[in-house]
Amino acid sequence: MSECTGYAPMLTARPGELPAGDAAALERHLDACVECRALRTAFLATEGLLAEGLLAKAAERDFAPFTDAVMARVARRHNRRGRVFDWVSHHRVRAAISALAPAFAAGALVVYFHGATPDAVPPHHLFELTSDCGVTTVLKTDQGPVVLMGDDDGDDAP
Amino acid sequence: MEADDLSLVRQARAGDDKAFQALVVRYQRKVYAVALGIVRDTDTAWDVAQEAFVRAHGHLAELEGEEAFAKWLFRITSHLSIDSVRRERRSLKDSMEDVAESELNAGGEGILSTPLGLDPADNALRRELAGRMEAALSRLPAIHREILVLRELEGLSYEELADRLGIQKGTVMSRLFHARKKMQVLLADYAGVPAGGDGDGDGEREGSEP
Repeated sequence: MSECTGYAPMLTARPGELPAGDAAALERHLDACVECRALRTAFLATEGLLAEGLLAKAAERDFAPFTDAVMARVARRHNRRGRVFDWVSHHRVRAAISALAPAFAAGALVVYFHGATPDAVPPHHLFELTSDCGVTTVLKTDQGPVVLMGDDDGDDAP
Repeated sequence: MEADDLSLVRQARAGDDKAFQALVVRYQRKVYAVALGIVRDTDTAWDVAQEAFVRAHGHLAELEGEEAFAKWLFRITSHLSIDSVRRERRSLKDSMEDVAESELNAGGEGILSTPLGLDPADNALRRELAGRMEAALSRLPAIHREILVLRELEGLSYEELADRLGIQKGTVMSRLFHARKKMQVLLADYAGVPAGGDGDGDGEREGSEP
Protein backbone atom coordinates (compact mmCIF):
# COMPACT_ATOMS: atom_id res chain seq x y z
CA MET A 1 0.00 0.00 0.00
CA SER A 2 1.46 3.31 -1.03
CA GLU A 3 1.58 6.16 1.43
CA CYS A 4 -1.01 8.05 -0.63
CA THR A 5 -3.46 5.17 -0.46
CA GLY A 6 -3.32 5.27 3.28
CA TYR A 7 -4.03 8.99 3.43
CA ALA A 8 -6.59 9.11 0.63
CA PRO A 9 -9.66 8.27 2.78
CA MET A 10 -8.74 11.13 5.12
CA LEU A 11 -9.03 13.67 2.33
CA THR A 12 -12.79 13.92 2.78
CA ALA A 13 -12.55 14.78 6.47
CA ARG A 14 -14.01 18.00 7.74
CA PRO A 15 -12.08 20.17 10.17
CA GLY A 16 -11.93 18.50 13.55
CA GLU A 17 -13.22 15.18 12.28
CA LEU A 18 -9.91 13.33 12.40
CA PRO A 19 -8.06 12.48 15.58
CA ALA A 20 -5.33 15.02 16.21
CA GLY A 21 -2.54 12.57 15.41
CA ASP A 22 -4.07 11.57 12.07
CA ALA A 23 -4.77 15.17 11.16
CA ALA A 24 -1.18 16.16 11.82
CA ALA A 25 0.16 13.20 9.84
CA LEU A 26 -2.16 14.06 6.95
CA GLU A 27 -0.95 17.66 6.92
CA ARG A 28 2.65 16.51 6.81
CA HIS A 29 1.81 14.21 3.93
CA LEU A 30 -0.01 16.97 2.06
CA ASP A 31 2.98 19.28 2.46
CA ALA A 32 5.05 16.72 0.65
CA CYS A 33 2.57 15.29 -1.88
CA VAL A 34 1.38 17.49 -4.73
CA GLU A 35 -1.14 14.97 -6.01
CA CYS A 36 -2.96 14.47 -2.72
CA ARG A 37 -2.92 18.20 -2.14
CA ALA A 38 -4.54 18.78 -5.53
CA LEU A 39 -7.15 16.14 -4.85
CA ARG A 40 -8.10 17.65 -1.54
CA THR A 41 -8.32 21.07 -3.14
CA ALA A 42 -10.68 19.61 -5.73
CA PHE A 43 -12.81 18.04 -3.02
CA LEU A 44 -13.02 21.33 -1.15
CA ALA A 45 -13.93 23.16 -4.35
CA THR A 46 -16.89 20.91 -4.95
CA GLU A 47 -18.02 20.66 -1.35
CA GLY A 48 -21.68 21.56 -1.18
CA LEU A 49 -22.19 21.37 -4.92
CA LEU A 50 -24.33 18.27 -4.65
CA ALA A 51 -26.69 19.91 -2.20
CA GLU A 52 -26.91 22.97 -4.42
CA GLY A 53 -27.68 20.87 -7.46
CA LEU A 54 -30.35 18.77 -5.81
CA LEU A 55 -32.00 21.73 -4.14
CA ALA A 56 -31.99 23.58 -7.45
CA LYS A 57 -33.68 20.58 -9.01
CA ALA A 58 -36.26 20.53 -6.24
CA ALA A 59 -36.88 24.25 -6.67
CA GLU A 60 -37.93 23.64 -10.26
CA ARG A 61 -41.04 21.76 -9.12
CA ASP A 62 -44.32 23.16 -7.94
CA PHE A 63 -44.81 21.85 -4.42
CA ALA A 64 -48.39 22.99 -3.91
CA PRO A 65 -49.76 19.57 -4.92
CA PHE A 66 -47.19 17.95 -2.66
CA THR A 67 -48.34 19.89 0.39
CA ASP A 68 -51.98 19.18 -0.44
CA ALA A 69 -51.35 15.47 -0.87
CA VAL A 70 -49.48 15.18 2.43
CA MET A 71 -52.14 17.08 4.33
CA ALA A 72 -54.91 15.03 2.74
CA ARG A 73 -53.22 11.84 3.90
CA VAL A 74 -52.73 13.27 7.36
CA ALA A 75 -56.42 14.24 7.47
CA ARG A 76 -57.43 10.72 6.40
CA ARG A 77 -55.42 9.30 9.28
CA HIS A 78 -57.15 11.71 11.65
CA ASN A 79 -60.53 10.67 10.27
CA ARG A 80 -59.83 6.98 10.65
CA ARG A 81 -58.71 7.50 14.20
CA GLY A 82 -61.71 9.76 14.81
CA ARG A 83 -64.20 7.20 13.51
CA VAL A 84 -62.87 4.54 15.86
CA PHE A 85 -63.08 6.96 18.78
CA ASP A 86 -66.65 7.94 17.89
CA TRP A 87 -67.78 4.33 17.66
CA VAL A 88 -66.29 3.53 21.04
CA SER A 89 -67.96 6.58 22.58
CA HIS A 90 -71.39 5.69 21.25
CA HIS A 91 -71.24 1.96 21.89
CA ARG A 92 -69.57 1.72 25.23
CA VAL A 93 -71.17 -1.56 26.27
CA ARG A 94 -70.37 -3.20 22.96
CA ALA A 95 -66.87 -1.79 23.09
CA ALA A 96 -66.39 -3.14 26.61
CA ILE A 97 -67.66 -6.57 25.55
CA SER A 98 -65.45 -6.49 22.50
CA ALA A 99 -62.49 -5.59 24.61
CA LEU A 100 -63.23 -8.28 27.21
CA ALA A 101 -64.12 -11.03 24.77
CA PRO A 102 -60.51 -12.07 24.18
CA ALA A 103 -59.97 -12.21 27.94
CA PHE A 104 -62.99 -14.46 28.40
CA ALA A 105 -61.87 -16.66 25.55
CA ALA A 106 -58.40 -16.94 27.04
CA GLY A 107 -59.89 -17.80 30.44
CA ALA A 108 -62.06 -20.50 28.91
CA LEU A 109 -59.05 -22.03 27.22
CA VAL A 110 -57.10 -22.05 30.45
CA VAL A 111 -59.94 -23.83 32.26
CA TYR A 112 -60.32 -26.32 29.43
CA PHE A 113 -56.65 -27.22 29.21
CA HIS A 114 -56.19 -27.26 32.94
CA GLY A 115 -58.98 -29.83 33.18
CA ALA A 116 -57.28 -31.98 30.57
CA THR A 117 -53.99 -32.31 32.38
CA PRO A 118 -52.77 -35.80 33.41
CA ASP A 119 -53.02 -34.84 37.07
CA ALA A 120 -56.71 -34.31 36.77
CA VAL A 121 -58.94 -36.61 38.77
CA PRO A 122 -60.25 -39.40 36.52
CA PRO A 123 -63.98 -39.45 35.98
CA HIS A 124 -65.84 -41.40 38.61
CA HIS A 125 -67.50 -44.58 37.35
CA LEU A 126 -70.93 -44.93 38.87
CA PHE A 127 -71.29 -48.52 37.86
CA GLU A 128 -69.92 -51.19 35.60
CA LEU A 129 -72.25 -53.44 33.65
CA THR A 130 -71.36 -57.04 33.07
CA SER A 131 -73.34 -59.89 31.62
CA ASP A 132 -73.03 -63.56 32.31
CA CYS A 133 -74.06 -65.83 29.43
CA GLY A 134 -76.72 -63.37 28.47
CA VAL A 135 -78.81 -64.48 31.42
CA THR A 136 -77.65 -62.77 34.56
CA THR A 137 -76.60 -59.17 34.70
CA VAL A 138 -74.46 -57.81 37.51
CA LEU A 139 -74.31 -54.09 38.12
CA LYS A 140 -71.41 -52.85 40.21
CA THR A 141 -72.57 -49.67 41.86
CA ASP A 142 -71.22 -47.39 44.52
CA GLN A 143 -73.33 -49.27 46.95
CA GLY A 144 -71.97 -52.65 45.83
CA PRO A 145 -72.93 -55.20 43.18
CA VAL A 146 -76.55 -55.59 42.16
CA VAL A 147 -77.52 -58.82 40.45
CA LEU A 148 -80.32 -58.61 37.95
CA MET A 149 -81.91 -61.93 37.30
CA GLY A 150 -82.95 -62.65 33.78
CA ASP A 151 -86.67 -63.07 33.21
CA ASP A 152 -86.09 -66.25 31.19
CA ASP A 153 -84.82 -68.55 33.90
CA GLY A 154 -86.20 -71.46 31.99
CA ASP A 155 -89.83 -70.68 32.40
CA ASP A 156 -90.16 -69.15 29.02
CA ALA A 157 -87.65 -71.32 27.28
CA PRO A 158 -88.94 -72.89 24.13
CA MET B 1 -42.06 36.21 12.74
CA GLU B 2 -41.94 32.52 11.79
CA ALA B 3 -42.56 30.01 14.51
CA ASP B 4 -39.60 27.77 15.26
CA ASP B 5 -39.70 24.06 14.59
CA LEU B 6 -40.14 23.11 18.21
CA SER B 7 -43.24 25.19 18.76
CA LEU B 8 -44.73 23.96 15.48
CA VAL B 9 -44.04 20.39 16.52
CA ARG B 10 -45.74 20.97 19.87
CA GLN B 11 -48.79 22.45 18.17
CA ALA B 12 -48.89 19.63 15.63
CA ARG B 13 -48.70 17.08 18.42
CA ALA B 14 -51.71 18.75 19.99
CA GLY B 15 -53.62 18.17 16.76
CA ASP B 16 -53.00 21.42 14.94
CA ASP B 17 -52.72 20.40 11.30
CA LYS B 18 -51.90 23.95 10.22
CA ALA B 19 -48.76 23.78 12.31
CA PHE B 20 -47.77 20.53 10.67
CA GLN B 21 -48.50 22.02 7.27
CA ALA B 22 -46.09 24.84 8.07
CA LEU B 23 -43.40 22.22 8.74
CA VAL B 24 -44.22 20.49 5.47
CA VAL B 25 -43.90 23.72 3.52
CA ARG B 26 -40.67 24.55 5.31
CA TYR B 27 -38.92 21.25 4.59
CA GLN B 28 -40.59 19.68 1.59
CA ARG B 29 -38.00 20.77 -0.97
CA LYS B 30 -35.09 19.60 1.08
CA VAL B 31 -36.77 16.31 1.90
CA TYR B 32 -37.49 15.81 -1.78
CA ALA B 33 -33.87 16.68 -2.62
CA VAL B 34 -32.57 14.08 -0.18
CA ALA B 35 -34.90 11.45 -1.61
CA LEU B 36 -34.07 12.39 -5.19
CA GLY B 37 -30.35 12.17 -4.52
CA ILE B 38 -30.73 8.61 -3.28
CA VAL B 39 -33.51 7.12 -5.39
CA ARG B 40 -32.75 9.04 -8.63
CA ASP B 41 -36.27 8.77 -10.05
CA THR B 42 -38.30 11.96 -9.62
CA ASP B 43 -41.66 10.23 -9.14
CA THR B 44 -40.26 7.80 -6.60
CA ALA B 45 -38.57 10.66 -4.78
CA TRP B 46 -41.89 12.52 -4.71
CA ASP B 47 -43.64 9.50 -3.18
CA VAL B 48 -40.86 8.82 -0.71
CA ALA B 49 -40.87 12.45 0.42
CA GLN B 50 -44.61 12.38 0.98
CA GLU B 51 -44.37 9.13 2.90
CA ALA B 52 -41.64 10.64 5.06
CA PHE B 53 -43.92 13.48 6.14
CA VAL B 54 -46.87 11.18 6.76
CA ARG B 55 -44.72 8.88 8.89
CA ALA B 56 -43.27 11.84 10.72
CA HIS B 57 -46.77 13.04 11.51
CA GLY B 58 -47.77 9.62 12.75
CA HIS B 59 -44.78 9.43 15.07
CA LEU B 60 -44.52 13.00 16.32
CA ALA B 61 -45.09 11.74 19.85
CA GLU B 62 -41.84 9.79 19.59
CA LEU B 63 -39.80 12.88 18.83
CA GLU B 64 -38.03 13.28 22.10
CA GLY B 65 -37.69 16.58 23.87
CA GLU B 66 -35.59 19.04 22.00
CA GLU B 67 -34.42 16.69 19.27
CA ALA B 68 -34.27 18.66 16.05
CA PHE B 69 -37.30 17.99 13.92
CA ALA B 70 -35.37 18.54 10.68
CA LYS B 71 -32.66 16.04 11.54
CA TRP B 72 -35.25 13.46 12.56
CA LEU B 73 -37.26 14.08 9.40
CA PHE B 74 -34.21 13.66 7.16
CA ARG B 75 -33.36 10.46 8.97
CA ILE B 76 -36.81 9.10 8.16
CA THR B 77 -36.41 10.27 4.56
CA SER B 78 -33.04 8.68 4.03
CA HIS B 79 -34.21 5.41 5.60
CA LEU B 80 -37.21 5.30 3.30
CA SER B 81 -35.07 6.23 0.30
CA ILE B 82 -32.48 3.57 1.02
CA ASP B 83 -35.25 1.01 1.54
CA SER B 84 -36.73 2.01 -1.79
CA VAL B 85 -33.39 1.59 -3.56
CA ARG B 86 -32.89 -1.82 -1.94
CA ARG B 87 -36.33 -2.97 -3.02
CA GLU B 88 -35.58 -1.81 -6.54
CA ARG B 89 -32.27 -3.64 -6.45
CA ARG B 90 -33.92 -6.83 -5.36
CA SER B 91 -36.58 -6.65 -8.04
CA LEU B 92 -34.46 -5.43 -10.85
CA LYS B 93 -30.89 -6.52 -10.32
CA ASP B 94 -29.33 -3.10 -10.23
CA SER B 95 -27.38 -2.23 -13.33
CA MET B 96 -25.37 0.17 -11.22
CA GLU B 97 -24.06 2.16 -14.18
CA ASP B 98 -20.80 2.19 -12.38
CA VAL B 99 -17.95 4.40 -13.40
CA ALA B 100 -15.30 2.20 -14.92
CA GLU B 101 -12.12 1.86 -12.92
CA SER B 102 -10.19 2.99 -15.97
CA GLU B 103 -12.14 6.25 -15.86
CA LEU B 104 -11.39 6.55 -12.19
CA ASN B 105 -7.72 6.01 -12.64
CA ALA B 106 -7.57 8.41 -15.54
CA GLY B 107 -8.97 11.39 -13.73
CA GLY B 108 -10.18 13.05 -10.64
CA GLU B 109 -7.32 15.24 -9.63
CA GLY B 110 -7.72 18.94 -9.29
CA ILE B 111 -10.32 18.91 -11.99
CA LEU B 112 -12.46 21.66 -10.68
CA SER B 113 -9.98 23.61 -8.71
CA THR B 114 -8.24 24.93 -11.79
CA PRO B 115 -11.15 26.37 -13.75
CA LEU B 116 -13.20 27.22 -10.69
CA GLY B 117 -10.49 28.56 -8.49
CA LEU B 118 -10.21 27.74 -4.85
CA ASP B 119 -13.24 29.74 -3.92
CA PRO B 120 -15.75 29.09 -6.67
CA ALA B 121 -18.70 30.71 -4.94
CA ASP B 122 -20.83 32.72 -7.34
CA ASN B 123 -18.86 31.24 -10.14
CA ALA B 124 -20.93 30.66 -13.26
CA LEU B 125 -19.32 27.30 -13.86
CA ARG B 126 -20.18 26.24 -10.35
CA ARG B 127 -23.81 27.06 -10.96
CA GLU B 128 -23.65 25.20 -14.23
CA LEU B 129 -22.14 22.20 -12.52
CA ALA B 130 -24.70 22.29 -9.74
CA GLY B 131 -27.33 22.12 -12.45
CA ARG B 132 -25.74 18.96 -13.80
CA MET B 133 -25.13 17.39 -10.45
CA GLU B 134 -28.26 15.28 -10.47
CA ALA B 135 -27.34 13.72 -13.80
CA ALA B 136 -23.81 13.00 -12.56
CA LEU B 137 -25.17 11.57 -9.35
CA SER B 138 -27.43 9.20 -11.24
CA ARG B 139 -24.34 7.58 -12.77
CA LEU B 140 -22.93 6.64 -9.39
CA PRO B 141 -23.61 3.28 -7.75
CA ALA B 142 -26.35 3.37 -5.13
CA ILE B 143 -23.98 3.03 -2.18
CA HIS B 144 -22.01 6.06 -3.35
CA ARG B 145 -25.12 8.12 -3.97
CA GLU B 146 -26.39 7.30 -0.51
CA ILE B 147 -23.27 8.30 1.29
CA LEU B 148 -22.76 11.51 -0.68
CA VAL B 149 -26.32 12.65 -0.10
CA LEU B 150 -26.18 11.84 3.59
CA ARG B 151 -22.90 13.67 3.90
CA GLU B 152 -23.73 16.73 1.88
CA LEU B 153 -27.42 17.24 2.39
CA GLU B 154 -27.77 15.94 5.89
CA GLY B 155 -24.28 16.96 6.89
CA LEU B 156 -23.60 13.74 8.78
CA SER B 157 -20.22 13.15 10.36
CA TYR B 158 -18.14 10.00 9.84
CA GLU B 159 -19.56 8.54 13.05
CA GLU B 160 -23.13 9.39 12.14
CA LEU B 161 -22.68 7.91 8.68
CA ALA B 162 -21.26 4.72 10.17
CA ASP B 163 -24.22 4.50 12.50
CA ARG B 164 -26.81 5.25 9.83
CA LEU B 165 -25.39 2.87 7.25
CA GLY B 166 -24.36 0.17 9.68
CA ILE B 167 -20.74 0.09 8.55
CA GLN B 168 -17.36 0.77 10.12
CA LYS B 169 -15.96 4.27 10.26
CA GLY B 170 -13.03 3.19 8.09
CA THR B 171 -15.45 1.92 5.48
CA VAL B 172 -17.28 5.23 5.62
CA MET B 173 -14.06 7.13 4.92
CA SER B 174 -13.10 4.83 2.10
CA ARG B 175 -16.55 4.81 0.52
CA LEU B 176 -16.86 8.56 0.79
CA PHE B 177 -13.47 9.08 -0.78
CA HIS B 178 -14.31 6.89 -3.76
CA ALA B 179 -17.74 8.47 -4.14
CA ARG B 180 -16.28 11.94 -4.21
CA LYS B 181 -13.56 10.93 -6.58
CA LYS B 182 -16.00 9.36 -9.01
CA MET B 183 -18.09 12.47 -8.83
CA GLN B 184 -15.03 14.53 -9.67
CA VAL B 185 -14.47 12.41 -12.75
CA LEU B 186 -18.06 12.82 -13.87
CA LEU B 187 -18.04 16.53 -13.27
CA ALA B 188 -14.84 16.78 -15.27
CA ASP B 189 -16.77 15.33 -18.19
CA TYR B 190 -19.42 17.99 -17.83
CA ALA B 191 -16.97 20.80 -17.30
CA GLY B 192 -14.86 19.73 -20.24
CA VAL B 193 -11.76 19.94 -18.15
CA PRO B 194 -8.94 17.61 -19.11
CA ALA B 195 -8.45 15.01 -16.43
CA GLY B 196 -5.01 14.39 -15.03
CA GLY B 197 -3.53 11.35 -13.30
CA ASP B 198 -4.68 10.85 -9.78
CA GLY B 199 -1.61 9.34 -8.28
CA ASP B 200 -3.19 7.34 -5.53
CA GLY B 201 -3.50 4.29 -7.68
CA ASP B 202 -6.29 2.66 -5.80
CA GLY B 203 -9.86 2.18 -6.75
CA GLU B 204 -12.96 0.70 -5.35
CA ARG B 205 -15.47 -1.62 -6.78
CA GLU B 206 -19.02 -1.75 -5.57
CA GLY B 207 -19.18 -3.24 -2.12
CA SER B 208 -15.50 -4.02 -1.87
CA GLU B 209 -14.31 -1.43 0.57
CA PRO B 210 -11.96 -2.46 3.28
